[in-house]
Amino acid sequence: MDNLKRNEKELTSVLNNPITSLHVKKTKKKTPFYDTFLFRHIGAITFVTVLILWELIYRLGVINPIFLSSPVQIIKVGYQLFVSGILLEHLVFTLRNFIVGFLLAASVGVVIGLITGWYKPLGKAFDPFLTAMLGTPRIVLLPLITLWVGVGFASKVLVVFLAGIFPIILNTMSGVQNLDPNLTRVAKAFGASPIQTFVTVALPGALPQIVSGLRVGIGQSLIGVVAAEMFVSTGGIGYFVAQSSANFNIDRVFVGIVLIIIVGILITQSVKWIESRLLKHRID
Amino acid sequence: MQIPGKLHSKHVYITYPLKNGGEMTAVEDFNLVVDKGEFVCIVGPSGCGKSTVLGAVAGFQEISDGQLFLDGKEIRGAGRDRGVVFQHASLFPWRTALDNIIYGLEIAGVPKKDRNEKGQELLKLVGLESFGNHYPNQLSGGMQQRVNVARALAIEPSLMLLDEPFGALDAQTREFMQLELLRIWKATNQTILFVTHDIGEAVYLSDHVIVMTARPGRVLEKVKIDLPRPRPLEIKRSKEFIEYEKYIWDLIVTEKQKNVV
Repeated sequence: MDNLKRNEKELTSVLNNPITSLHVKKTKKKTPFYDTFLFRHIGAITFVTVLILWELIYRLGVINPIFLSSPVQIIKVGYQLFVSGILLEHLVFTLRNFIVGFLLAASVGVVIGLITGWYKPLGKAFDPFLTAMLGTPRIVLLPLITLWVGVGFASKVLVVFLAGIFPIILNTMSGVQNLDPNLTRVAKAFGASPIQTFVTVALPGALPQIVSGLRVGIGQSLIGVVAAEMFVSTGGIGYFVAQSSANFNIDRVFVGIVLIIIVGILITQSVKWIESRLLKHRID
Repeated sequence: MQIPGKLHSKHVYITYPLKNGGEMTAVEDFNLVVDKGEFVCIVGPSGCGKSTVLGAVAGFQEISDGQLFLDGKEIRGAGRDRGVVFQHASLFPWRTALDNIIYGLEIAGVPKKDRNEKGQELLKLVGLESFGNHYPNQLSGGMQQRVNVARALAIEPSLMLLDEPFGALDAQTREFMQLELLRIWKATNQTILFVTHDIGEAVYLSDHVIVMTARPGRVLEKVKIDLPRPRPLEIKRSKEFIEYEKYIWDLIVTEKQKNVV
């Protein structure tokens, strides 16, 4: 009992000692930077800060308001346009072009990619063409396309299609070509026919690459649809932005841009979600 | 004419074409008879062509001369009468353990209900009952090789071929897997041809150890391992075991030295 009391005494003396107690406090308080509120939300904080700075610059009149809108303005004008239905009309127009074009690009692209990847000579034969097309901004074909199919729905769909299909073909093809040879050997050992090997090894084996091709393709298709609408269209967000700019309606230009950004984010996120569903064996 | 043995290798030669137009003989006059229910290991210095022989029996590797018979029929190409356990687990990463095991049955067109039943049975046999829904990257190296063994067993092959299946495992897991393999072998009455460079492993597992020469690989000696079964792991410390090990080791070393000089 006496012993215990003495220990207690020692402990209090340690705690009351200015040097040791300071030390204890210090080690307790110190949390690593990556664990702080600031670090965990650094993205959101930066985003909000930039928006506030932007609004301030606008309000202080540093830049001529002919050339610059502000976050508050964008929300205000965007809300008006949304309520009046104009924004939705353009959005639907753009999405229709985009979805039709991209679905065509995805289905045709994956099929071509699988075939050219599986039959090596075919892949080799088309390789120069594919490589050339991948490196080219396909929007350069727009004048040719309008010459061939006019300026209507078909022209936009075709641009979206061409913008998206090449990364899809190339990724799918390389996915099939770079299959783990050990796995194809397993299929062979179990007496799989070429078609069975294709279905049970090539298809699931190439899936990660197919998905990443689709991801790249979707971005390119989105670029394609906006660009095509800017040049040859009477509707769509691209048209809306170009038209508003020509009329010096800077707030509307920004509303269009923000809308495209939101569409882009939504599409990317949904692709990510689909990816995590399809490739769940990669996640522990 | 009756072909004796489950597996019969008769004067088998395997050659590779070289870039300069010549030929390299990997395996030369390889003769071997494996009887039904036997456990036979092939050991030899690295590069002696032991895996090449296994590949030929599996049907991946074309032979340039001689004949290979399985159950009296000449081997032509790969087939489901042989179950191959690969060096690296080579499991399909997108399939669960159960779906990996029943892969061969799926290819053979066995109805889903039957193959799942068989798969469950095999999961139990290899001690992975509760891991059927795990993906390969969620399994340890030893567990992956259990799945690999079960996948080969699923098609009920006439002959099991194992190519250094435990080479990548740590020493303790390897020993335990050897014990497990013997248990599975007994439970299934399989015939096994097993390739390894680990002499201790070969002695522990085998009825006969085939010692190969350096390239071009031939059968140097067929050593009968007269150790009682079942063999607990402690047998590896017995005098007889160590003598077998030393004997085979000497054979290989003498062979190697011959080659260097």
